[in-house]
Formats: sequence, structure tokens, C-alpha cells
Amino acid sequence: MDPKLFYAQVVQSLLLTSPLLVLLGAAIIVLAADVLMPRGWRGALPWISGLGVAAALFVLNGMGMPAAPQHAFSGALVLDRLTFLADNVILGMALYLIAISPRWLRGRLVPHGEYYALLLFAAMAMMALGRSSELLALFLNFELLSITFYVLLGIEKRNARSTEAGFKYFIVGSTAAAFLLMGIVFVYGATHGQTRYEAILKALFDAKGAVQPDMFALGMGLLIVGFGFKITLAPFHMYAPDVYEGGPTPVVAALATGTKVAGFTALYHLVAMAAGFKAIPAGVWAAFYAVVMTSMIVGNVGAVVQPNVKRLLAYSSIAHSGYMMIPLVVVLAKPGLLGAAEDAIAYYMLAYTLMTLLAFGVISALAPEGEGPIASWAGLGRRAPLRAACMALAMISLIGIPPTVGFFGKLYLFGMAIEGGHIWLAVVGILASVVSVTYYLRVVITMYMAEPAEGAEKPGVMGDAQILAVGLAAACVFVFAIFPWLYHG
Amino acid sequence: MNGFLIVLIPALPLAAFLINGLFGRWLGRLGGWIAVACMGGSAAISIPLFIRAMWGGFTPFNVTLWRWMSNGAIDITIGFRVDQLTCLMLLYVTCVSFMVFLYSMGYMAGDPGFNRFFSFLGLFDFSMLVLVLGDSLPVVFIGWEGVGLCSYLLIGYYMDLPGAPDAGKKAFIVNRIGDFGFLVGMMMLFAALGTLDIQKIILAAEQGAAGVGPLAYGGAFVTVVTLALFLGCTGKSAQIPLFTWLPDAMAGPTPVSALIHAATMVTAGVYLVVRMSGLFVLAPATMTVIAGVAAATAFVAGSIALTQQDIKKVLAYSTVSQLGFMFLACGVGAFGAGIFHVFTHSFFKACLFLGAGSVIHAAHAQDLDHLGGLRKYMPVTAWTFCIACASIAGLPLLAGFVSKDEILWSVFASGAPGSMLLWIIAVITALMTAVYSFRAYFMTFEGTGRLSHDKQHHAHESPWTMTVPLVLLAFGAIVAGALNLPGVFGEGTWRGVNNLLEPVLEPARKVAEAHAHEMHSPSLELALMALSGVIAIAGVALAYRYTLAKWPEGARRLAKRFRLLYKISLYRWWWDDFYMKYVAGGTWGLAKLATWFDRWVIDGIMHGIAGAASLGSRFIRALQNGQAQAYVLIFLLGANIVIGLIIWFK
Repeated sequence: MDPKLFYAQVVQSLLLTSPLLVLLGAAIIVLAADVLMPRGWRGALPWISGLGVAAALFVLNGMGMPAAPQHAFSGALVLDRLTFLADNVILGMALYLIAISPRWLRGRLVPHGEYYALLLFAAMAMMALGRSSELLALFLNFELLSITFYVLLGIEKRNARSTEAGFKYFIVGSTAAAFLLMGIVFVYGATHGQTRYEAILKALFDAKGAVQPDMFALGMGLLIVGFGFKITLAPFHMYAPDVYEGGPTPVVAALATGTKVAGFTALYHLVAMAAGFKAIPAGVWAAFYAVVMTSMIVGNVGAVVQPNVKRLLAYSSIAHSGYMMIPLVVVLAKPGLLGAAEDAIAYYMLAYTLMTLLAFGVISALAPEGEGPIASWAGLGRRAPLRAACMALAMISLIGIPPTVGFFGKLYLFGMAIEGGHIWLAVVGILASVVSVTYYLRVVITMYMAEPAEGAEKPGVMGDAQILAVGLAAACVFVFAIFPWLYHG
Repeated sequence: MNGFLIVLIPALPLAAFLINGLFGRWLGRLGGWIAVACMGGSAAISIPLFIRAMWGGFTPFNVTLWRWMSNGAIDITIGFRVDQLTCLMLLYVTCVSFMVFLYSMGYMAGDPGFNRFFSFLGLFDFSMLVLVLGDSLPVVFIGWEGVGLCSYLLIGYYMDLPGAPDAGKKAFIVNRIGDFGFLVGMMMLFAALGTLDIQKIILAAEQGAAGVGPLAYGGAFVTVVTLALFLGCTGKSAQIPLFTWLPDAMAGPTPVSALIHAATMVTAGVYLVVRMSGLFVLAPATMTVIAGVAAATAFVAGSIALTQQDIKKVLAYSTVSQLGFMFLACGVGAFGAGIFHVFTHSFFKACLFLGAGSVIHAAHAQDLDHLGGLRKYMPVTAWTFCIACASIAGLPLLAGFVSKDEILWSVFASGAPGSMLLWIIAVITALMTAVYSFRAYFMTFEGTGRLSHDKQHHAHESPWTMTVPLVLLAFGAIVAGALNLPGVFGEGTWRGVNNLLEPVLEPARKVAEAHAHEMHSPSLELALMALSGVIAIAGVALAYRYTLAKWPEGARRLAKRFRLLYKISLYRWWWDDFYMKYVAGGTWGLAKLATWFDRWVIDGIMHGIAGAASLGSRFIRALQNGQAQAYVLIFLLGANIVIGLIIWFK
């Protein structure tokens, strides 16, 4: 290859990935600062991390939303409309978590430098996973994200629950990685050695039909098993309740939101690659369908008797993953709806992230009592009115009551199901949402109607950054419902 | 730039709402002034807009803001439509609102909920302006529901006043029935046309007039749709059978009565009918129903207003009666006359209400039996009230005369079924209008003072923030008629509002010309105009005779001689009692049945589902035993099922 062309491509690739590089740089600076700065200056670490994320946001939006997909590093990574939106959501999440962390970390035995650096690494890995457009890059980014979370979940070393959470995530995660890798191998073999999505797409619809459809279908099935772990689809979800309950709250918030945003973006690209292929409709489609149904049912039914808010949110996140899969099931057989599916997923990513972050933000602001059983939330409506109102808002939006983002998000998802001719997905989804009312409202009822236990104290005051972050998230739950164009134009 | 200014019109009151709602606690009185300034800004944009529409080169335009939701068949875009009708509505809504805001600075001074009041007012104006500006039915509906919400909040503003929260609830529930009609109409239109954009609906209606598409002239579909929409209007605009909430709504602060329950919100129904006039004219049956309901409402409410003791109740029934006049005009196809009466009515009725508020503010009494002789204490209030009364009574040349006479003539000349009967009812109601309005004036401001001694002592003119709006509104009540002189004075007469609305009403006019036979007879029109003048003067004379000259024996004798009529009027035709006994009673029975059904059937199903969910939940929880090896086992099981499915379906 002409060296000039080669260098131009490298430079272009670096430019496209610059937001990731900015995060990487910021994480290294945080680590260095932690070592080099006097101990008393540790309060600067969240500021440095926040500035890094802000810089990444600035660089990303400076590039603007790409009109057509742009590839970097010979097609290993891609920047298109969906990844651009996903990156924004992930970076917004990172800022939010950095804002709520200092108050949560206070009095806990957590190494601050590593914590913030790993949060930045995690955000970078999420963006990278979402952008993957080549099978090996996909696997690497998948693992990169998993490894940061193995460490992050267990970062509270003296807390047995935290260590347990990290370890369980590790065990199930490595199993999932094996399936993912196996799936990649099958797809690779079926297409006679293709790894780039574009090339696979070309091979699939090649008139000569050199692809082995059964092998390809098996590969796709194994890939969904691997992803089932990352985005907590039932029955690959078993780790979630324990991990969510035991893990550090801000880390769990990232696991529940950013990881899923990344996972769904990556999965969307995979599905978009295979949509409409002749071997898809029967087998792979049935597997997807089954997984979606199980997730919606297990998530919502499982949440009903959960006594702990974080556990409840774990099941809630399983249910919402089920909803979010609906467009992917639909487009597998109907590639004509790809654009609509992209819109629906892009919007729900934001909606789900906003309301879930709001809920976790409130939990972290009520720590450590709020991380315990729901019963400890009794009477919060009077003891901490702002936090109670925000939590109630998060619950209402998660149910999907207008005029919140949760309502419009679900409207688009279930609308996709109806448009695609899968009435039953919509029916089960809506019935499952009805069940979800019971457990979401239980939280609200406990806060506003139950008498607090004897001797329950007023929870500690919130930090300024916490108030700002939680308040902004609460406002956004309305703002993006009424002005959706602010998000995707 | 234009679009930006249009957006500012509703955005400024919204800002007033947010500022007062969020920071009112710290702003205090300043928050009120900010709200006044915001409303003034809206008015300052609307006035030049109207002038341009009336005299300058103006072409209607759309301001498309954003696509709110699009999902398959549903595609809702938030957008505004600025045409001649919008400009007229914007003009009076913003101007009257501005004056009421200013007035409230004086009226509400020292009230503990001062900023809450102004934030609600701001929200109300935002909703009202969205209603007027909306370019599609969903946007109009957002405004429609918004004004309803604010009405509810403001009627129940004095939360500890007995009856106020109940009155708010009543308004809300009665309006729900109307809103149901609106929604049904909207959904039927959507099902038939696949769009809710008003311009597209009118376009489809024009095709329907030509016999193309689902909206055929006189067809059952278009009749049901328009009847459903009209049901919505009877709720919002207090027409039979849904008018009973409006008199109770007087429990709210008086500026609210003036703004919401007289000048703006209650006219939304008339606005909707005029906005959709191209659709309504396709259903002659609906038009007949509108005209009949309107005439009956005007008559019933006018007769009730004759004997009410509470000055605000008199004005409330008067409003219902005047709204009847507006719908009557619409019902006979004179949409321009209807809207013009909306316009003039907003000035004199707001003036009357604000005047009543000024009296209540000064004398702390609102029972006509306890007022009287107040003119010497509060001359500005008295004179402006007198002017507004003269205007509503229809004394020649004032605004009310011009607009009401136009309606009377339209009814007479329309050739609609039963138009003679409608005209006679309308003329009798016009006579009653003159009587009850001057009865209120005489009993409040003239004659001997009947206030208790210490209240008399405190009676005084109101501060400038209250008298300035009164004077401005009274001025409007005199001159607003000049905007639309009667067409009888020859071809060259300047008929501002009619000419202005011509493009908007064109589809309706075309249909009407094809199907109705209007009468043209200038000499007859002049004669009837003279008759209206005579009737108004006679009404004033009657009021004078029985409330001043022969007070109180004459009035008593009159009541005795027409005992039955007096009872009917005093007890408001037993309308509320009927509702209470039969409708509410029937609803109560239905509710009991529904409770039984809910308890044994719905709850049974729900408990069944809940039980199943809870059982399932326990099962899932049991699987969740905390052991990682079990989790991996289930993971592998799931993976095997996935692989099995793929092999099975191969």
C-alpha cells in the first residue's frame, strides 16, 4: 500500500476515535495524579475526570452526527448515527456518575485514583464496544469492558458483598465470553474467513451463495448467548440480582445503563448485518423471540417480591432489556424496518439510561440506609422530599406513564412490534408492564404512605453536585419526552 | 424571525409561570410584575400582528416547531398556524390578559398565595395561546386540557373557602364529559382521514362538499363527528346541558372569573367551531342542533340572571347567555358574527367582572341586596361598569350593540330551519340582557346605600393598577364595534372583521351558498336594527323602574304577580337539582354496580394475576440461591435451548 495513503488513513482513524483517546488520556492523568499529588489534594480527582469526560463530549460533538457511517482502522470500528448517539449517552452517564461519586465514596475504603480511572476506562470500553464493526474488535472490546467491571465491582475490597459481586460477574462473564468467541468462530467459518461486518454482509447476499447457512445461524445463536450476559437477557441474567445488590452503587448504575447502551449498539450492528439473510427467519429468529419473551416475563415477575431496591432494579433492567430487544427481533425478518428500529433503540437507550440513572442517583444519595431493604424507605416523602420526588418520578417513568421519556420510549418499541406484525410481543410487553406497576408503585407507596420505623433518622444532606446531577436527570426525564429532537435531531 | 416572535407569544407567559412557580418565594411582588411584563410582551407582539393582518399585506403562515412523535400511522408535529382568525384571537387574548394581570397586582396584593396565583395565570395564558395557535387538533387539545387544568386550579384557589374545592372539582368533571366528546371526534377524524392537521381536515371537508371522500355533505359520519366535537364545546363553553359548572366557578378569585370564565377560556368552544367551520357546515343537522341548544342556553341563562342576588352569579349567567348568542350565530352559519361577538364580549364582560371585583375589593360584599349607592365612593368603577352594562345591553352604537345586532340579523335572515322562532327567542333574551345588566348596575352603584355601617366606612376607590385596566376595557367596550360596521350601510362600508376572516371562512361560505337561501333586504335590516335599539332602551327603563324608582315594593309586587316565573328564575330552572338527583343519583347507582363488578370480577382477575406473578416471583427467587455454579448451570441450560431451537428449526 502507498505509505502516504496509509498514514492518511491512520490519521483519519485516530481522529474518528479521538473521544476515546481523550478518555484514555484523562484516565492515565488521573492515575498519575493520584500517585504524584499530595494526599490532601485527592478532591481534585473527580474534577480531572469530569473535565476529561467533558473534553471527550466536546470533541465528539465537534465532529457532529455523521451523515454516513465512517470507518476507522480498516473497518474495525465504525462511527454512525447510532454510535454517535450512544457515545453521547455513555459520556453523559459518566459525567453523572462522577458527579454523584464523591459523596458516595466518603467514608468507604475505596482507592479513589483507581476508581475514577476505571470509570473512565469503562466509559471508553463501552464506546469502543458500541463502535465495533469487526468480529475480533468486537471480542476485544467486549472483554475490555468486562475486565474493567470485574475490578470495579469488587473495588470495595473490605466489603464481602462487593467482592462477591465482582467474582460472580467474573465467573458468568468468562462463560459468556467463551460462547461469544465460539459464535465468532462459527460466523468466521460460515463466511469463509470474513470478519468485517461489511464483508460478511456482502458474502451473505452474494448470488453465488458460498456461505453455509446452518453454520452461520448457529454462530448468530451463540453470539446472542454471549450478548445475553452483557445486556442481562433471561436466562443469562442470573448473576444480575446478586451483582446489583452487592456492587458499589455508582458502578452498578454504570453496569445497568452504559453497558447496555454499548451492548445494544453492538448487537444492533450485528443484527443489521444479518437482517434479511435467508437462514435467519426460522432458527435464529425463534431463539431471539424466545429470549425476548423470557426476559420480559422473568424480569417483571421476578421483581414483584424483591425486598431490596437495587435487586428490584436488577429485575427491572432485565425486563427493559427484553423490551429493547423487540425492534431487533422485528428487523431480523424485516430489514426494511431497520431505520425505524434504529430510531426506537436510540431513543429507548436514552430514556432507559435517564430514568435508571435517576433511580440509582437517589439510592446513592441515601446510602448506606437506602441500599438496604425497601422498608427503610418508609416515610421518605417527608424526611427527604426532593429525593423521594425524584425516585417517584423515576418509577413513574419506568412504568411508562406520560409525559415522561419512559412512555414515549415504550410507545416506539411496542409500535415497532405492531408494525412488524408481531402483535404478541406487544401484548406480552404491555401485560408485563401492567405487572411492573405493582413493584414500581410499591416503592412510591412506601415512601409516601408508610410510617417510618421508630427512630428512623433524617438522611444526610445531599452534596451540591449530587443535587445538580439528580435534578438535571429529573428535568431531562420530561425535557426529552417533550423535545425529542434535542436528542436525535 | 417571524416564527421566533410567534413562539415568544406563548413562551413569555410560560416563563412567567416558571419564574413565579420556581422562584416566587424569593421574588414576592416582583414576581407579579415580571408576569405583567411577560404578558405585556406577548400583547406587544400580537398587536402589530393584528394590524398587519387587518391593514397590511399578510399571508397566513405555519410555524412548524418539531416532530413530537412518529410511529407508524401516528405522526404528531408540534406547530402553530397563524392566519387571520388566529391574529384576531391573539389580539384580544393577550390584551385582556395583560389588563387582568395588571389588575391582579392590585386585587391580589397581600394574598399569601400571590406568586402561586401568578404562576397559574401564566400557565393558563400559555395553554390558551397554544389552543389558539395550534395547527393540528392534538396541539389544540393540549391547550384545551391545559386551560381546563388551570381553571380547576384557580377555581379552587381559595382552598379554605367552603365550596371552592368542590366547585373546582365540578368544573373538572363536567368538562371531562365534554372532553370525551372532543376526543371521540378527534379519533373518528383520524380514523377516517389519517391526519389531524386542521388545514388538511378542512381540505378534506372541501372535497366532501364536492362529494369526494369520507366527509360527504349531510352524511351520518360528518354529523356524528361534528356532534362529538360540539359536545366538547358545550363543556368548555358552558352550554346546555353542561353549563352548570360555570356559575359555581365564581368561587375563584374575581380576576380569574374575568379572564378565564368570561373573556377567554369559555370562548374556546366558539373558536373551535369557527376554526372547523368548513367541517361543521357539512352537517346541517349538527348546525340545527347548535342553533337550538344555543338559543335555549341563551334564554335559560338570561332568565336566571334576572333574579340572582350575587353580583358575580348575575355576571356568570350573563356569560352563559352571551355564549349562547355566539353559538347561535355559528349555528345559523354566521361564523364571522359569532367570533366578532366573542371579541366585543371579551371587553365588556371582562370590564364588568373586574368592576365587580373592584366593588368586592372595596366593600367586601357581593350580595346585591347589601350593596347600593357606591358611585360616590368609587366613581371610576361605577362609570366603567355603567359603560360596560350599556354595551352588553346593546345601547345603540356601542360595541355590544354592533355585534349583537349582527347576530340577530343573521338569525333572522339565515333561512335556517326554525329561524323565526330562534329570532324571537334571541330578541326576548336581548331584552332580558338589558334588564339584568342594568339591574346589577343600579342595585350596586345607585340608590340608597345598604352596606353595613363599618363596611360603608371602608368603601373607597381601588388603586390605579385596578382602575387603569377598567378604563381601558371600558374604552374597548365603546369602540370595539367600529372594527366591524353593519353591512347594511351600503357596499362601501368597511366591514373589518368580516373581511379579515373571509379567507378562513371561505370553505364554509361556499357550502352555505350552495345550500341555504339568505335574505337580503337593507330596509328590513335597518328596521330591525332600530328595533334592537328600542329593546335595549326599554330594558334599561324596566330595570330602572323596578330597581330604583319603585324599589323595593314594585319589585316585590312583580315577583308576586309572576310567582311561577320568578320561582323558575330564582331556582335556576331546578337544573342543578335535576342533575344532583337524577344524573348524580343515577351515576351513584351505576358506580355501585361498577364497584361490585370491580370488586368481584376485575379484582378477582387482578388478584389471580397478582397471585400468579407472586408465585412465579417466589419461584424465580428460589432459583436465585446465591451460588455462582447454579447461575452458570442455568446459563448453560439457556444456551442449550438456544442451540436446540436453531437446530430444530433448521
